[in-house]
Amino acid sequence: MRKVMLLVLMLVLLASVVWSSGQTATEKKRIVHFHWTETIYDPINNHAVEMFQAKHPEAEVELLLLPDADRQNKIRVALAAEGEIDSFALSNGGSAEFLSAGQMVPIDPKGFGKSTVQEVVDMWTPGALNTCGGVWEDKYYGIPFELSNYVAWINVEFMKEAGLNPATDKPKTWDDFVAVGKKLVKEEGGSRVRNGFMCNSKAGAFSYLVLLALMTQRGLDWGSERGLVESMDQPRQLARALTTYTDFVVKDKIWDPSLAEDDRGGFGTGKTGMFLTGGTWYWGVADHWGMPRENINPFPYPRYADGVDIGGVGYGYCLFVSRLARDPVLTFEWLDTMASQPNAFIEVGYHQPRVTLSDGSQALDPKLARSSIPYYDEVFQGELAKTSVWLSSTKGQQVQDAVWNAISSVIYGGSSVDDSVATLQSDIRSIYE
Amino acid sequence: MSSVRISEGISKTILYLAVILSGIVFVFPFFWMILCSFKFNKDILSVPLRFFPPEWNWDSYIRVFTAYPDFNFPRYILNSFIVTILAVVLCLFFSATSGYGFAKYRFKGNNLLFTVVLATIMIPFQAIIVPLFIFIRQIGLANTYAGLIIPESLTAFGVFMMRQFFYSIPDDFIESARIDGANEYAIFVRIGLPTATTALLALTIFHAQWVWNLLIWPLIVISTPEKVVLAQGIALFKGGYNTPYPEQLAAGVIACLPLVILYLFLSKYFVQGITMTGLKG
Amino acid sequence: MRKVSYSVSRLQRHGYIFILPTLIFFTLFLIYPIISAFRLSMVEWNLLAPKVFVGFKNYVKMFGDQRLLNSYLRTLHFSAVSVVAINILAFVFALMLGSRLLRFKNFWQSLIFLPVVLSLVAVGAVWEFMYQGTGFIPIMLRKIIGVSPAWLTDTRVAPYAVIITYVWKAVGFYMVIYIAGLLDVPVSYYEAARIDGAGFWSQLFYITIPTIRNTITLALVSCIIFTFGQFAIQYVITQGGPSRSTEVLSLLIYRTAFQLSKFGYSAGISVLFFLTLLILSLIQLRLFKSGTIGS
Repeated sequence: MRKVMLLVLMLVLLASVVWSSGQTATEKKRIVHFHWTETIYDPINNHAVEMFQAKHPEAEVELLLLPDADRQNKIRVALAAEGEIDSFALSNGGSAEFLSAGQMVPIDPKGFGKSTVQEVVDMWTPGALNTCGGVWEDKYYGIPFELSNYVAWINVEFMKEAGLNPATDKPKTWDDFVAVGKKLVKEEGGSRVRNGFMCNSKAGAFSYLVLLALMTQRGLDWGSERGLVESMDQPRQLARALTTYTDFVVKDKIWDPSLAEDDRGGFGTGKTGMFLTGGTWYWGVADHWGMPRENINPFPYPRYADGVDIGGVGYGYCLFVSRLARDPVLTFEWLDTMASQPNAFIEVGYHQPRVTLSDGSQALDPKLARSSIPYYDEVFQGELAKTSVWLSSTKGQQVQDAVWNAISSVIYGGSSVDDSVATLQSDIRSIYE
Repeated sequence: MSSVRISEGISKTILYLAVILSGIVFVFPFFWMILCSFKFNKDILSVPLRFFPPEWNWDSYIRVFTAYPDFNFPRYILNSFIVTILAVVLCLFFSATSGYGFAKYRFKGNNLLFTVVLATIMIPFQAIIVPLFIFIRQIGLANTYAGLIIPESLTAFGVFMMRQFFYSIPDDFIESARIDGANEYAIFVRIGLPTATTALLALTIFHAQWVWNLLIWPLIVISTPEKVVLAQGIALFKGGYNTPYPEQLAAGVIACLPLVILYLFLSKYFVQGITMTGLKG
Repeated sequence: MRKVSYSVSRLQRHGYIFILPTLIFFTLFLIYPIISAFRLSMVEWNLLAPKVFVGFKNYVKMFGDQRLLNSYLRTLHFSAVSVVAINILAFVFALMLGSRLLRFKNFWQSLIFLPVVLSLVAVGAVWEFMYQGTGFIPIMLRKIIGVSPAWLTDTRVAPYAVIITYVWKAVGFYMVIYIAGLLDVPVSYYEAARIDGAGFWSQLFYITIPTIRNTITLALVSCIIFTFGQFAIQYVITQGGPSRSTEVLSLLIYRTAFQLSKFGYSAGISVLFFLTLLILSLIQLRLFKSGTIGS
């Protein structure tokens, strides 16, 4: 009896293993798209799936919404293992690695109902595909999905509390920035309850992007591999920018990293008076923390009195068709549909640089943009023309890692700026040797 | 005599104090997690910190299941159950059979093969993730339950434990069963396994909690939403700009419950099981 | 030690059948990948571009790599402190819970064991909140002793934050092993000792500890192996920071592969890691020469 039971158990085991490894085959054409997840945007993206499947009943779209930090990894692994991956989204900082390895298919105008690639490109604002990282060696691969730039943000309530005038006292230079920051710091019972400024204290990417702007303002070209390596020959400028940033923690003490980890959330919950890593989309998420919009003001990145007139980093996301796409033309059509709702997105602050849709109608309504995004013309559009460039390199992650190491060894590890710069020089040089 | 009583009384008080204090310290983070899951997002990290929720957020648990249409938590829970149960059963199978084989039979290479199996404990999982994933892909098990279950069922610790256990069973029963003419597999099933029940239960808890909470392997192998496991679901819950902390904590509490319940049922077997394996020496 | 004669009679050969499924699966899914990792360590590869064979260049690079050295030291520090803390605490708890003066033993045991079954992904966030500047732990510390270190942003303190969380999570498991071990000490030994006039501490050092030598060995050896490979805590709470002060080896391996896309180099570090553990375990087993394995 026991023997029979054992046999049955083993059969059940075997059967379940076999069953669980089988995939039910569907008749429909499948398109698997790798994207990131964000509560306010997910419904809009899901709506695109519905629209596309309504137009193409023979197709089935699987929209994979992955956490931002994980997405690039998943894409890389799926491509390497020849998995199911028809299309995906990448930022302009991350696309170079994949483009240089031939992982994407160049734009096929048939997917948009056009006959030339130029007609497709013209549906977006001039230069958008470049800024969003969709171009490689003069060929077009990516459909822009977001175009934004970092500006500075300040809490005007806190300004008034500190006796500052929001109309006139917003920082214009980095020295102003420190002075204002000091006024916005708040201590209670001997411990810090509000920072003057903060950035993300755990994830290096954000500090990297701010420092990138500072370096560009010092006249160093951190937007290209060659420029980056050449900039290593200018330790004085490197030190100057690094000192400005690390002094926020070390000398000026307007940033106490142990107060909170995340700058966007920190600003939204009143734990900091200013932060530097928000684009137009921040309007959409600020509501999440119940921070009244009237309390928030964006303003252009401060400048050096003796530096280049350039602002926060400009960045974008593109949608790509992968080299493993089973039906590239249909997949481009899917991407077209996905990128066809700029008005729905702008209402939550998400800016898509699309001018016309494939059927010729207007895509992004400029009036809607202005009404959804406070200070759209004054701050964002103005700064959009003067953005620092985010490095596009196959070794981008390693660069970011080395830069964060330089920053964190000063703000956490007590290292001197000069030592840090020396390490940075050797790290960057060995990355690109 | 009475001085012994007094010193015993003092010892008892100190003992109870120490034990109660330790108990509080050890349970506190779990308690804090539950408490915070009933707070609103802005109150979790509020300054100044409030111990109890200023307003009770009774919705967080419900919202876990209803407010996030892209996160199908019931499905994740189901997946975790499927994967954990099957992985544990498979693990018990491997450990029991090989433990019995190594312990009860003398054959050439016994010690050598056992050492090889044991050495696999020292293989850091991170080291084999990439080659293992490529291999899994090659045999067509990527994004499948089997691709999760099989690697997650392999632990040399289980083999070690069961071998120790079977060593401590006297051979008499086995010999007499052989004389009676029973074949080896029947002996294993009818004599070996039943006596091993407590040890197997101990191994169950040990392995179940590892599989249930394992994040890194499902993160790599599974990308289709319908096979995502719970640990993944919680980690995925971090939004790009904002993490819904109360809901994430609520999901975390829910994730802890099955194991806590399992442990409560099996706890009395745990110590027994380890004792019987002769593991402790 | 009984002398073992490997008579390969037909009966004994059944052993092969019993161990066969395990051997097959372990070879396919554990041993074959680690061998692949050896091969992988000889190339440079970012998963997408073709592999570039570089021979032992990765290993040469490892010798001069400051980051790897830091990681090694951090791992040694983390393991040493954790293993000592865990085993001492586990032993003390086992003694306390084994005392005849205590009732509801199972209840207290469950409380201390609870963290073992909790999901780290779930509890990790809570620990992070508790360590933050405005979190529970600094607030309590300031109330009690007036000061609190910056747990997550001070490079000297962050390793201890991680250690504390890890010890909290793991102690229960080893406590149970020690409890089981203590149960085995014959009561008669203690009786005899008490008659001879031995007090609590003498009993402890001359009877308890020597008798449970094997248990201690098992606990120590398995603790060192598991702790050395620990990475989830650091990943969830500090991400290896601040400034790489909690970047242990397994985290570095993961990072090098999945963040920096240097899969060949990562495999090289894994090989180094594996060899280190192998040597460590061999040394320990020699030192504690008791017959837990094989007697």
